[in-house]
Amino acid sequence: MARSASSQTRSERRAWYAALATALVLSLLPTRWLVGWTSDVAQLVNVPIVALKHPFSLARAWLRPMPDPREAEPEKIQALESDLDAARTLYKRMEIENELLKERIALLEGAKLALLDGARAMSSSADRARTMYATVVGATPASSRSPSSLTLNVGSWHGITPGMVATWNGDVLVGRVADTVERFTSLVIPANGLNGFEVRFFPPDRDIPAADAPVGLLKATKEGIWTTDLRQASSPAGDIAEGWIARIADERWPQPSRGLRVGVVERVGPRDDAPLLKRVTVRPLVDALRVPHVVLIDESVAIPAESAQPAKGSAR
Amino acid sequence: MRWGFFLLLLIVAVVLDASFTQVFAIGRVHPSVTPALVVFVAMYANRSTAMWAALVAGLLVDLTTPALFDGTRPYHLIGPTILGFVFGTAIAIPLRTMVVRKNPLAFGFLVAFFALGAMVLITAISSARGWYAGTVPPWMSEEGRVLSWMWLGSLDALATGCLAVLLAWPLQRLGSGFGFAASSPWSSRRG
Repeated sequence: MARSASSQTRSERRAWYAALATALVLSLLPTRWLVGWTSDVAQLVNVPIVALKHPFSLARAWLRPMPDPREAEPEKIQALESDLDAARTLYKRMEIENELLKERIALLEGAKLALLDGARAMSSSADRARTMYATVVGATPASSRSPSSLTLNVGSWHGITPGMVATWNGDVLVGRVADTVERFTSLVIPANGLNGFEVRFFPPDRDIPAADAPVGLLKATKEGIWTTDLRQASSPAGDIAEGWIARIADERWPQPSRGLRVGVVERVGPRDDAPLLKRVTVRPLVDALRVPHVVLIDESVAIPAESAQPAKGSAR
Repeated sequence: MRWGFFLLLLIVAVVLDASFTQVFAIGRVHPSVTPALVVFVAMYANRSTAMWAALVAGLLVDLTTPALFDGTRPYHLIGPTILGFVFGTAIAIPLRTMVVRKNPLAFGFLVAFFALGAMVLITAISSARGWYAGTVPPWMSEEGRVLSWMWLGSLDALATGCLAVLLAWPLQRLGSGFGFAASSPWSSRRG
């Protein structure tokens, strides 16, 4: 009997120390390990408790209501002031929406203007450009499972097609729409994940003919930048240097996207294994994962001649 | 001790803390009911039962207190209140032999000590957790300094002690429901 009581005490003590150790370990676990499953466990307790909280909350609100600064005023004045507050809120909401629409129109117009300018620089026309505004609703960084991507709030239902070019701030390349477009969403592959497209390099401080600009084929690297190899012999436009701007000059890309700014030359150095070549490193002009919205461009829809003016409704 | 009765009162206490005790708030200081219940058990039950009751109460408080990781992702930190309540009970148990159990002021005094001990341990754990990325200790977002935070916690403990003085009488009336052993080995004369 005594032995049984002592073994019960011993097992109880063991259980107690195990419970304490578990509590200690749980309280010191890194937070990201607790996200998710702890909320599920807590739901088991919280769901029945929430029902009990309602009467106590009502009792609290009855015993100690929210102070109302208009409490002393007559009821009519209280009602009028409430209406006035509601009207003010509505007016402010309209003002904010108006500002956002203005920004969106300016962005679309800027994109159109930049496209026209870029197309002229590349000796082509932009009369077949189609632009579309989209908001970035998700940005997935690169992981061991997948490369980085942007999710847009528009899809095939809105007219998005694979290969459309996403731009930021009028003329900066963000990326291209992936091959599969969902009905209401689409994925954009960031520019620094795109490989093997042709660009021309232009100096930032002077204007040179596109035909004289050096041409390179950009190759993406793991670091999120591009490299290309150019011949050592200087081009008619002079030697390429840090700060030169790379612009799309690939015939396989939609015509309106040619001339878009892609990146800036970060480094120019010799190639040890090929003395006649120099290695050019290009860094993207914009961090695609931080872009809040984009303008998508394509060439598939012809625009009537009278609406080729940049300000007129190319946006859908 | 009758665990079913204790758990019922514990749930009521936790719900009161979450939804009702703000009625007694003075500025940012507001009292809690759960520590009073745990200390009441610690005054009458044997040591082992009192400790387990503190652990269960701490677990329930942790499970009903959400936190945010990186400002957006909710989670529940299970452990600090458990350890805090167990530590507070470990402080209250030696003191119970020195006080008159049925005296409301003595009860309030013990509850305030319990709450202070629990607050110190919970602050220590929160401070250690501040090293993790994305985990901000509560004083970083509110008071700015740990000492200000602890001062506020001390006032909370004092308020909890004051509320416990009021709760002493109803808890004494409910005492028979707990089914505590008739004679307590530490203080048979002071019952």
